[in-house]
Amino acid sequence: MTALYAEGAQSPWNVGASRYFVHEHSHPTGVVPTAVICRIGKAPETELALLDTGATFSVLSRDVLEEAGVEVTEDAVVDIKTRFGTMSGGLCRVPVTLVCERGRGTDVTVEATVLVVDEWPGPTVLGVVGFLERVRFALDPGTGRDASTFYFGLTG
Amino acid sequence: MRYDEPIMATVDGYFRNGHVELRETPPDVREGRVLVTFLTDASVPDSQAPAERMAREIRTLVETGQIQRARTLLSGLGDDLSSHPSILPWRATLKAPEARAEGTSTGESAADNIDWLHRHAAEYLGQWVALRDGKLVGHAPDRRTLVRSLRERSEAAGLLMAWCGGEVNQ
Repeated sequence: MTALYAEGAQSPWNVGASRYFVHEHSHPTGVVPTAVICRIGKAPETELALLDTGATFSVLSRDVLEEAGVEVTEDAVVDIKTRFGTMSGGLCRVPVTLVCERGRGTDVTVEATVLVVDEWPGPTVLGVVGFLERVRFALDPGTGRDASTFYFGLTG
Repeated sequence: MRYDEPIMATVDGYFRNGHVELRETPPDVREGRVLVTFLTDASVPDSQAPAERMAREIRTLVETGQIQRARTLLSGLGDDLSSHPSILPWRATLKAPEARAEGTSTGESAADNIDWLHRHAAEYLGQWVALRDGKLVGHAPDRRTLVRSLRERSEAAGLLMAWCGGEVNQ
């Protein structure tokens, strides 16, 4: 396992770890987003999602939800300002898993609140409310391209 | 309130257990005499209106980023309101999320896939790519098209889907 320890702590600070990717190319907001590996519901494939501490909510496209086989039962409709303008969507509970690389610990699944938008033009976003507020994480860029490490664990 | 000027205001309320609960704040009145008019059931606009008003208020708070205020409002609701159908979705989606460690890892090494993105993402701007073991399995401007194609070929399991940046399809 790839573990971090707080000073004097007996148990590790994180439970899992994985590499992450920093987009270096043009983006509508001009920022360089950090992308981490996650799985939506029980989808067979994983995906790179933007880790965005500046986003109030996580956002994903409805087709991603459908492909993941997630049935939404409760939907709170909202209009939210996003980097692509104001979007109408529904807040839903969706299991989102931070995927751990083999031999580096364990996956963490969050029963997350996400904003589901019919046609979200970008990649899935992991935001604060309903997701990051219950996950501790740290980013270590390392010293080489493949040395980046995204450490994650449970709060408390 | 000045008593030398007649001021009349009508506000909504509900009579229950011998008391009148006001649902609205009377404008510019600190104290004064009131007359209570009891409405027949048929003339009561909607006994569920308070829940719907509350739902609208919560929605406004959420849309303006005041999440903690919305949560505080929800936590203070009585049983009648908090179990109302218009409130339930807000309770379900604004409650603190639950997180759990799965006890196992489902990811393979990401090194090769991340390395591929560093070297080739610029060649696929505006596209989704599907990667396995550092090799490109498929790509398309539209994620749905790519996923369906890969699943039809039974190649989706274990793939890493990534958006390569650049202009997006809007």
